[in-house]
Amino acid sequence: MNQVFDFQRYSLLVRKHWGDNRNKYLLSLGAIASLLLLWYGFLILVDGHGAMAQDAQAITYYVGLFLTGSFYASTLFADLANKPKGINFLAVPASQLEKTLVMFLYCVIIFFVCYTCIFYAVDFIMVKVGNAVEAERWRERHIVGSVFTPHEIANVFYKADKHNSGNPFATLTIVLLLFFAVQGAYALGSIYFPAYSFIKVTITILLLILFFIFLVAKVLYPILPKGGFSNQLTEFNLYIPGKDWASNYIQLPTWTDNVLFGFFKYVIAPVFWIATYFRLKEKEV
Amino acid sequence: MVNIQQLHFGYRKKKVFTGLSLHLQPGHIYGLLGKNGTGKSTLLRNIAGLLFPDQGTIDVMGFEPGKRQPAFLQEVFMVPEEFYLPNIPLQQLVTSLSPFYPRFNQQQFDRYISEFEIPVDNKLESMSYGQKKKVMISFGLACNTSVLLMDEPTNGLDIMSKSQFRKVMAGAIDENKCVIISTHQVKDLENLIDRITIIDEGAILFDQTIEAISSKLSFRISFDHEEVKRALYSESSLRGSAIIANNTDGEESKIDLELLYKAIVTNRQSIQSAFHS
Repeated sequence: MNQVFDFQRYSLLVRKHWGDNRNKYLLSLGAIASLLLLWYGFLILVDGHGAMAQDAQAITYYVGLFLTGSFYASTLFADLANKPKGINFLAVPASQLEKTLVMFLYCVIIFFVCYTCIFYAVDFIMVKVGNAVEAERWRERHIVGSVFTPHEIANVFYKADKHNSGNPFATLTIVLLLFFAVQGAYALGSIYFPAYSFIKVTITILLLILFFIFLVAKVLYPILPKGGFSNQLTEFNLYIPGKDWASNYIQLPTWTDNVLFGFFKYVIAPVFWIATYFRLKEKEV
Repeated sequence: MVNIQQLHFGYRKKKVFTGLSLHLQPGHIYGLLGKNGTGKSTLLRNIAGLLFPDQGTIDVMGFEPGKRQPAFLQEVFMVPEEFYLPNIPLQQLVTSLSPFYPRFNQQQFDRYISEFEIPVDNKLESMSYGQKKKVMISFGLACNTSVLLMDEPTNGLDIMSKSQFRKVMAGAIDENKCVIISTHQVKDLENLIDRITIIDEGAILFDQTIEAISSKLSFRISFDHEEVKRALYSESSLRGSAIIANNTDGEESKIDLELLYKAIVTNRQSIQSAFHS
């Protein structure tokens, strides 16, 4: 039997994880649905016109995804903070890779699918409720000549952009990839900071962002000539008095831009999960 | 089966082992005795691969425990002193966990559960600590792993359960298994273990088989002042003095583990002299 990965053992572990956590997971999904219902209910109450607009639905989807997904990821290896639970987890006869991949499956794939299904289930109901409420308000106002247009259920993965004829999935793909990277960071944090993991990882991420801002503002800008970055990170427009903006610029080869974005889009999340695997291997209880 | 060489291990502020060596064979139940905080649980967790040695090596059936390979983990089961069982029905626990242990035997498990009088229909969370512990012990025994580690298994068990535990354990050992029981409640292990290892301050104070102890030492109650004075260890009681003396006439006596433990902790040299003579 393979000591690194065996599909039969992996399936057993997936089933065991579900059996051990079924109640917790079902309750959590119920809680997410309730929070979405409450939030939409609040929006419908306070905003009579655009509560269920497609943008509001998409924002709700992504904010909810980031918050609940990060929180779930931060609890992923919380068992290792507790000696009895940690022993129970580490002593199960499966490899560390299988254990990491089970967590990956639940945290990244199953959570994402479940959250999206829950979101659309709630969204479907609340768009109907929102439209009914708005239609009632519209009838009460009796605005002559106006037509009531009901809101439709948003496709949260598709952003119609009037100004950009490019791929309508591009922006939201980046947001999703960013989500998977953030989730990976919280999963890694849950093994590094077993107690108060969510708070500690959030503080760490904020500190890193602050450090990056400081680096750009206090270290990078003073050594660069006057000007600013254009849309691409690898293109710097020089400010020369009396000349048009962007008439002079410094540009690094295009491939550097692709490599940089490719790294942020596709490498960060896997790197966090690989680090999680190695950290689990060296975990002691 | 379990070979520990020059084990050095310490927590951040405290050194626990400084060069501990131990060799454990299959077919025996080892009693690991010692005061609280002497490193009994730490040793078991090192053997189980839950802690890694700072220096030295641990070999369990050819595996390095720290690597926690599945083939190693399915040969070692640990019943920790503080354990966790998920809040699921007992049968579900068996269904989800037993497939990981190739030699798990359902009939054996059912027999232990029945001997321990555990209500099978209850969810684990609704069981008492003692009942949960008995579930862990039953499951560990039914897994038929080559190495079974038990950390304070009798803690939390009532008097009847302790006697059931001894009975169950006595019937569970075979020549392929190595059972290591760590405890500070030495009375609970009487008539069960066949080798005693006492650790203190991170080192092995005493390591002998029950057979060797019986042949070298004599445990009895004495009213003879001269005999009490000559004894390797004595302790006065209401019914005379309990003594440990050299076994000169070759007659085997019932080992009083508690007395032996106290004798070794307080006067190790005199006891060990009996084994070197």
